[in-house]
Amino acid sequence: MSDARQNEALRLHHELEPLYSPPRTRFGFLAATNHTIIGVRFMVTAIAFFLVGGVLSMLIRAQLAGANTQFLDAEQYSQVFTMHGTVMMFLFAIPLIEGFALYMLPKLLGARDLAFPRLSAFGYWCYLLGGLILLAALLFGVAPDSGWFMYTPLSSKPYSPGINSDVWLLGVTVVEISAVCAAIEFTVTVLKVRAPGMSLGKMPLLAWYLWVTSAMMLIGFPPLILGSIMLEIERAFGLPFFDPTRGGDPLLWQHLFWLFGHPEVYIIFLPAAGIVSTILPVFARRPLVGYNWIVAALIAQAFISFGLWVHHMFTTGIPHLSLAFFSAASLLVVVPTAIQIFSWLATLLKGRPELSLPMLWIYGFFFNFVSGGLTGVMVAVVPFDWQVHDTHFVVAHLHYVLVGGFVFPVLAGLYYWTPQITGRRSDQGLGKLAFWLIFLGFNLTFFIMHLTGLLGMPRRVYTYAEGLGWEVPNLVSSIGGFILTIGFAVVLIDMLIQWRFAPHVTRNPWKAGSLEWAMATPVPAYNFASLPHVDQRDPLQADADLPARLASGQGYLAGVTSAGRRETLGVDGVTGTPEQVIILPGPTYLPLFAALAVVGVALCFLFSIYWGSVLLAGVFLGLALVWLWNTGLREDPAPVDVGGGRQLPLHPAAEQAPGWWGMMFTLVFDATLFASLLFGYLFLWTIAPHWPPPRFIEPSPLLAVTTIAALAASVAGGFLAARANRQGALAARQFWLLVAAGGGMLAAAGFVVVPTFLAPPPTEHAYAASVLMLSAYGALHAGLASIGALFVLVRCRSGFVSPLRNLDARNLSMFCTYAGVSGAMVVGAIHLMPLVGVP
Amino acid sequence: MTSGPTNREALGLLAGFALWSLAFGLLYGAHGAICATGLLGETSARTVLIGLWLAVIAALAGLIPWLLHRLRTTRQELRFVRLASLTLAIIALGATAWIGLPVLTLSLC
Repeated sequence: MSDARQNEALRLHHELEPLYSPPRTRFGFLAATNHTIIGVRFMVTAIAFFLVGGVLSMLIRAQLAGANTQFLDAEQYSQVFTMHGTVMMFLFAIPLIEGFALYMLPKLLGARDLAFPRLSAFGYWCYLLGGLILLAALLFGVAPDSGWFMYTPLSSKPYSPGINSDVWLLGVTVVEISAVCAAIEFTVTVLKVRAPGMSLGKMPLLAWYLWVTSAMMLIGFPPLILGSIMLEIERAFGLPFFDPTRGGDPLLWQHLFWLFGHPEVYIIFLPAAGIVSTILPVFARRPLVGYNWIVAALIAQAFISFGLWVHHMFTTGIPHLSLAFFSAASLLVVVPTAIQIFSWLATLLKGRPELSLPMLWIYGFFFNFVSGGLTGVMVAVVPFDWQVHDTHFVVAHLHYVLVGGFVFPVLAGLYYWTPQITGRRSDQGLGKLAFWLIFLGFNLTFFIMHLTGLLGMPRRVYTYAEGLGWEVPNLVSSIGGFILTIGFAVVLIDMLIQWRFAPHVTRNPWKAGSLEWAMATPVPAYNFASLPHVDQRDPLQADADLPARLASGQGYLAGVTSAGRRETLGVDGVTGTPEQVIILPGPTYLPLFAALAVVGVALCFLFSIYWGSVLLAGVFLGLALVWLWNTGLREDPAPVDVGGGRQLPLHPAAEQAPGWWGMMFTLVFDATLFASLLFGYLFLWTIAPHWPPPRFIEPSPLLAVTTIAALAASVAGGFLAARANRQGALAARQFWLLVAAGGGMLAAAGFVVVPTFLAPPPTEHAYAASVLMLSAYGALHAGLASIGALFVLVRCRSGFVSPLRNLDARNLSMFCTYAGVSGAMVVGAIHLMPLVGVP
Repeated sequence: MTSGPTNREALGLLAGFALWSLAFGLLYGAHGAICATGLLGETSARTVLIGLWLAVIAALAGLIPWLLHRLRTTRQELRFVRLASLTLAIIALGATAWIGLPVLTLSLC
């Protein structure tokens, strides 16, 4: 780099770094919203939870090393294995992916931050605090003890009278809020916040993987969130959703759990596969073979993974033909997986592979994951599954898939990307030692566990008698488990040494082609001093001088604009044509306060202080409104010169602002939750025992018609207010906003009337409990539509909304429409279903 | 309309497997309802299930020529998305045929 360029790069660095860093005050770090900081926090926290989960696994292996061991009693063992699974799935695997995506996506996409930085920070605090609830319960001896999938009736009040199950339901739900926030954040970011020119066909494969994964999270998490809410309500207030003596059904819990649980496997696997697809071509020294096929395969895999959930329920008595559908889908999902594996193998065959440390982990992944995949094919076959269901064979299979398919690629990624975070590269020798300890320890532990299962040892028993042939395989597994743990300890030591003592690396030490290596190491807070124009899949391979040009401001949005705010570019989702300048929020404590309110709601519920939960929910709503208030502009902005002769509007004046897409994807999440609720209602109606209920609701056609009319007024009000705003008809805008608010309020009242005056007591039968849930859903949404309309009205009066700045009005219209359509379906489900009758 | 024409292209990526999901949901849901209600006899029930299955296969078969046509008339920067949409629709057709096969042979309830 020439002196002039270097000086300019330094000038830009000193200008940008303070703007994108958290305030240098005593508690300023709590206000951070920068994606690099939040991403690293997520990953470090996830690794800390992984260590906890690892210690718990050692307790399990110590207990099972021999027959009749008294190291743990049955209750302690139940808590330990439940928390091991819970920590590893909910506090390690998913959050690690979130942290990785948070950290990596803007760097891969050539942006300065994610679409909604405050949401990232909020998600992190929810994750940390929710995880701490679970860990605190472990320390106090009241940890969940019903298994990580919390099957009813074991987790129901009569069989788990303590707070153990409540801790799981509330703690995990708080953690899931973070996952949902992340999913919305990532789907919008990949769609809109990319470097100009980066069309979908030029997007890095890792971004594709993370995009598909986040879309899966949006659809996959709602069933479990709903199930958790229903089970917690059953435990707290006696509403019998899962109690078969009162029209509930434990199988409903299994359906809701596995509707989440099986896609979850792919939610964990796909980002790991993305890591493989990123690292492998770098060390094979050639582009990945079959980019298009991999994109098609992972979209196919995402869909098919939602058709597998019943393969966890093959032994529950579901008719054979239905089992066959799920068995067929379970076999089908192998195809897209195989496409990816063959693509990786072809890349290795056609390239000049180099056996570096990250590649060693990838070879380990190949062996272990393919083994896990093959046993997956075995358990997809119904008769075989019947033989091994709930045995240690399944434990071995799932560890091959999750450790082989996730942990090994993650370790490859750790060794590949930590130089970017630390600016140093670790010692290869220690890394190789760790690999062999983990690879051998893992296979010693889990390969023989297949045999333990085939010998008939059930999972989740705290001890076993002598003479069953289980002693030797269990002892071997325990020895392997301890070797595995030593291997992880070596990784940790290696990372600590790297962080403090390893030699510094220069930019792009692996000679990779993707944009995250275009920045200095360790990375600056702003990522890029100016944003690139991308016209290749591997921009650094095509243009080695690109990093220096970007650092010296020869790209878009160079340095800090005169407004002195954080900014990045928004593009058309498909073509990558630049279309807006996105204003990014700065540091704020709001996400922390909002997360504290959410955790307060959960804790009050846990200790039966229900008035406290209601109060704190109100506090949360207030904070959310403050949050929304601090967005947008009070004047119509002029287009901004972004460089390259382009002038672009600021996002509050853009048609496809990230906020519009954020609302859209939030409603996708919401609609999935609603669909799960309707599924539960219909499932109980058609399948559950003890139906019909003793009595249905009092018929009230007038109430049904009035509620529908009120919903229609809310929808029309929202739509016409947005139209009047565009036309500059301000009086009409105000009128229609009031109509929307009034309609929403009246509809909410209509929903409240049903359980209050017309329905039987909700504890009487699952029917009445379901009617209460549906009414609550309808009332909540109609009420929010009403509050939203009043909020937009105040925003209009304060100058935040104009014909050009119309996002508030359009988002309100979208929400009112959703609330209206879902509300009408609730009315139909409540008022019409009794006319149809029970089969 | 707030979503531009190119964003609608992205929806094409989802079309094939959205139909696969529809087939899966219809077959599983209809089968559950048929077995729970007992309203239909074996032959009628199987006819309904096969009809649903073939209807979605027909929809997918109709989607493919349309996606093929769009591929011929595309702008360069849209070609990738349209090609991927077509590939996914073809895979979804095979996948739909595969998951419905048990309807032809297995006992119903």
